[in-house]
Amino acid sequence: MRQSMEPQQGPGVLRTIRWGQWGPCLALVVMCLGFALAEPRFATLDNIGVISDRCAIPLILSVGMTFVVLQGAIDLSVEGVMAASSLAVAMLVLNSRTGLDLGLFGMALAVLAGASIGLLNGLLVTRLGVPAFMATLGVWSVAMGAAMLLSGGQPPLIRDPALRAFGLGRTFSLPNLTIVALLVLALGFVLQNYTRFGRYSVAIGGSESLARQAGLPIDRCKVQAFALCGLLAGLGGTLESVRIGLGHVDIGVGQMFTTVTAVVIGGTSLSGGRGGVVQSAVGALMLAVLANGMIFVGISPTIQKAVQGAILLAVSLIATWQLRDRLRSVK
Amino acid sequence: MTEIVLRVENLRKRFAGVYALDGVSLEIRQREVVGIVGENGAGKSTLLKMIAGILRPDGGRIVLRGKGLSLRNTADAANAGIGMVFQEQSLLPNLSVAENILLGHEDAALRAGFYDWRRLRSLAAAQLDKLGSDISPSARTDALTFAERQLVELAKVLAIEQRTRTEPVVLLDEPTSMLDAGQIETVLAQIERLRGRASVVFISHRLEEVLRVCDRIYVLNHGRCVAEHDRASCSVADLQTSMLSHTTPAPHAPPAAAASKRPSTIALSVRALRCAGRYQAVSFDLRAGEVIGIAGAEGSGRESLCRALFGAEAPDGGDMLLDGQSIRLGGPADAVRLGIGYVPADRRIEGIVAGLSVAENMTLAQLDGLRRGPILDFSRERTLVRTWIERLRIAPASPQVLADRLSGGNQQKLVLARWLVARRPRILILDRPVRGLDVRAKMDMIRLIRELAASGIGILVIADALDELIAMSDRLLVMKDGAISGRFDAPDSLSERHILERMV
Amino acid sequence: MKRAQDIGKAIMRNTPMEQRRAAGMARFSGCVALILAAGTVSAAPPCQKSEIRLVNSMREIAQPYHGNLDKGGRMYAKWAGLESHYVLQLNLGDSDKQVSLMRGLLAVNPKCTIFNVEPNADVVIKPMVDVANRSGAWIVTHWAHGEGLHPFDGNDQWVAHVAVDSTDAGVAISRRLVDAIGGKGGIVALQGRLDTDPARKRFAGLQQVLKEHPRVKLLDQQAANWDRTAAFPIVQTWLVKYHGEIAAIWAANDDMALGALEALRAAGLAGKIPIVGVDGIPEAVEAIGKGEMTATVSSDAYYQGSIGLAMGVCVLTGQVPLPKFWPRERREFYLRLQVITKDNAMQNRGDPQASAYAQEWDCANLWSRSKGPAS
Repeated sequence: MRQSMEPQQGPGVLRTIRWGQWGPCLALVVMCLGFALAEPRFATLDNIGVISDRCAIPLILSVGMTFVVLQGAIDLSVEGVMAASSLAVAMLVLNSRTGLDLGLFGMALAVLAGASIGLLNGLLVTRLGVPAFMATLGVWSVAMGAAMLLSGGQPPLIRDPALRAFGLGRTFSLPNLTIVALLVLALGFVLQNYTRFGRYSVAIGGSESLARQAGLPIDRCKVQAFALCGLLAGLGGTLESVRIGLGHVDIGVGQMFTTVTAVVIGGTSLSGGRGGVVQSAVGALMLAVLANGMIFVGISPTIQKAVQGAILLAVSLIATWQLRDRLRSVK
Repeated sequence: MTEIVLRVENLRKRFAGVYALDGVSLEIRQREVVGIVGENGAGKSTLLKMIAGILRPDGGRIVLRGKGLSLRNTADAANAGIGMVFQEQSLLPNLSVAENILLGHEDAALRAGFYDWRRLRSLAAAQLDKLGSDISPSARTDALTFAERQLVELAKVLAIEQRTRTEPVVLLDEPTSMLDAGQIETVLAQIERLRGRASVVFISHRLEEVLRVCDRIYVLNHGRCVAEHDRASCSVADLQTSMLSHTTPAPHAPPAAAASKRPSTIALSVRALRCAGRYQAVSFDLRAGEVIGIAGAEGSGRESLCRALFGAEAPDGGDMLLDGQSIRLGGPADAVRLGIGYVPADRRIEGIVAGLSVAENMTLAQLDGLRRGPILDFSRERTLVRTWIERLRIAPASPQVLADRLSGGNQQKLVLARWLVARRPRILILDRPVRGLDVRAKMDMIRLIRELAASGIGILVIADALDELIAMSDRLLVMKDGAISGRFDAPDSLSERHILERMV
Repeated sequence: MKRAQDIGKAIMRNTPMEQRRAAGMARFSGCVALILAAGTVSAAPPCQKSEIRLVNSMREIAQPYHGNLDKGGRMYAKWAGLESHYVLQLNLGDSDKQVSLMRGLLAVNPKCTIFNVEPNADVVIKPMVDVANRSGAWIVTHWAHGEGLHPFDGNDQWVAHVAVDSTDAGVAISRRLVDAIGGKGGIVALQGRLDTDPARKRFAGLQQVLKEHPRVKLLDQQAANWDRTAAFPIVQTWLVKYHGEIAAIWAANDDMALGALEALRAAGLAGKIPIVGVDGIPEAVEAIGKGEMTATVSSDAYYQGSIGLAMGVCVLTGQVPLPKFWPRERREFYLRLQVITKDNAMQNRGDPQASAYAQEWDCANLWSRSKGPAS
């Protein structure tokens, strides 16, 4: 005899397909097929390279965001972190403004800067009890301000030839940034499924009160998640700068929306406890395919946003269909 | 005489001004199984939760092997060698079975900080094997049935054995109430097995079970320990007697207001209502002006039934007829529209809106009736609110007071008032309306319920204390394991013993 | 004075544009001379130099174009001895903020404050002019304003509007682009934010040139919102979709052009496909010098960031008459744009010195870069 209120499962066959898990993959396949049929050149190896290049940075960002969202929080500061690390790397490696030439070390420092901003987020949330939404919103502005100060009207141009070549080049016919993204994805996968940090994050998202009752180190996990998100956002900003060739305050514009969207449509729920890095990667891939495909099919730029929105709504609907419950509150 | 492993001295716990536990002392010895019985609300769960580290006592001490304990959370308790199998489940729903069993102690399965899943699963499987269970260690916990999760909880407690050098103290809070006969046998067998290497505290409302496995039995009643029995010299009847003895006078209800037996209309008719896993084939009639009390232990299905009657849950089959018309409730809003009101058990969470004032809480459901055009008519609201504060004797009598400042009893009245202000309901469903109230508040509440019935509302009441239930009801239904196991039509002839027999 | 006006009117009725302008200028210079002569006798200049405040109001400082606007303003302030009187206001893309920042500053000493405005959007100009009219502050605007709005329609505080003929700019670079590919081939276009005037007008310029050259085909166009990070993936995609068919890339601004350049670089095509842009930022000029870009057009950000302030100072120190006495072509005129190609790229590199602009800041020369009336 059940006493607890559990969400009612949908009837029969539909339940077994578990839309929430396979829906996004299915949607991705359908999208790819659709675009390929409409425009054969969509399905060439070259274009696959272009798509993977386009989704490399969003993928890196969404891996970081996944852990934060798994715990049931959110990090709104990624654009600021990208801006700050972009300016940092552009001024530390061989560039047009400062006399420094720190190469890879400079990149590492810029990524570390991102991690420290993430750490700040984590401390604000755990020590001062500021809700994640507000804390990261504030840190976004602060980081952006720091970036603007550094930029001062003359964005530093990156002139280090090795780094530029890395950003634009390929290894084994795969774009370098894609390789980095895949490495990050692998790291994220290991963290999520093979470490206590990962598993406890999932537990916290599922029920923070139960996790607290069980004595899990919740604060430590939260700080780690924010720090990781900041680190990966810093990595994203750094790589994007190296690819495009300058340190720029606007380098992350639009990324916050893209990242959260990728995470959500991939199947990671914003209320926490459900999803994972692979799902977020699928989401990021979906967005890249969508943007790329719309150009191939020739959808007018004026209605692209509307089309994008419609498709994302449809995917979200499919992903959350099985969770319908009379008394469930939707967040 | 075996040594005393755990002693509880004069333990107290208050909830919102009322003592759930009022000075309980007991002891548990090495390798023995101690049973704790009592009515719902007697304090059994609270006692165990304090020993397990979930709640902090407001008074008294817990002494483990001669040393006082101060527990902050279940991890502390586990480190001390105390583990509890929860009634409301402590497993983390998103993790696998193996992770839950070894939660916080995964080191044995970690290699350089990384999970060795195979090892983790085999360690967990070892614990599950002790129970003879074939639950897969890699299953996700929220995919299991309640009974299976119960077993995993047991396995988790057993895992303590591997860690502590001393014999653990295992606390079992109604582990059998949701299980079928076969599973119950397994659990009882496990308890027997545990006796050889641990001390066990076992709560159950099924007195036969308790007598089967326990060496000694304590009886709790209204937060106090009223008796201690030895298995050898005790029978079910003895236990029942101890459970029902009252130290506080039962609230006297005024004689049922001219309970003239003229047939009144049937307000609500329930026909063969069923919901898989909760209740089945429930049928009864509720007349206008009548109060029906529903008695039942954990797992009887009565809460679920009431939620279905209010539209918060959907039954699988059966019919509900309101004034002879068949109705289908799509949700609570439908119920409200049809004139069915529901006052929930936990008023803090499901009843009052803490941040609003008394007046605001009261008119919450009826803002429509207080409008003049698009604007609220405040003078009308004020009059209405004052009227009800007077009638229900809510104190303090100010409508502006914030609702969460009121005492429990007054909050309860407030929630009731909301339904009365809205629109005279046809049916009212009250889930434990007098729980946690002091004597005076209880009497007020019972009087109020009687008055409401007299005005023509059909009322369904759930309560735990049988004496309260008898005082409130014209008729009684007893539910057990999802079915109606007894109907009592004449209030005078009701005796608590009869009811108890049907319940357990 | 009246005699001169009659003569002026007579002249204007009978002569072509150029002569009319010359006549207007003559009349104007006459006025200036009169005032200068009468300076000692008539009222003192509107403001003491120490009271004057110079304000540059623009969107942001991160883009090089805006950075140079600010630099131009500061250069002028220093040259005019008003370095500490210079204020920068950034609205970060928020039109309401641009207006409210202006209002906020005018709480103190409005009548001696000059606003040189790069509007966030066309619609922001009317409210700012209204603020100026009410408070007595002075305002010079750039780029484009809404329809039907003019400085000479009784907006006495609106000193001047320095218009940029974006269509002209679009035409200029498109011609260079078409020349670079020999008049035939397929091209792709990166547009700016579609709801802005420069974006639409520049693209119109491209379409005008395409009509003249039917053998040049526009294969595709996308909006990259002035941003090089957005342009990069778009061009990458195009390189696959139109593999081998793209002869040249048209971009509505330099930032997007540079993004396109990086995409070409990633594909090993940098320098092999002509690219054009607009703005004349140093990076673009450098790329043109290296042969990786073909042409850009500059409105000269340093000039735009300073000329408004110079005009205001000239009015406030009494060196020119009040704007309400100016002829229309002085109140609203087109700025002469400079096309930068490989030929003149070298001259346009690096930060300019104040001396390069000193002549144009001189009160007698304020309209030296005017191309003609804009209304």
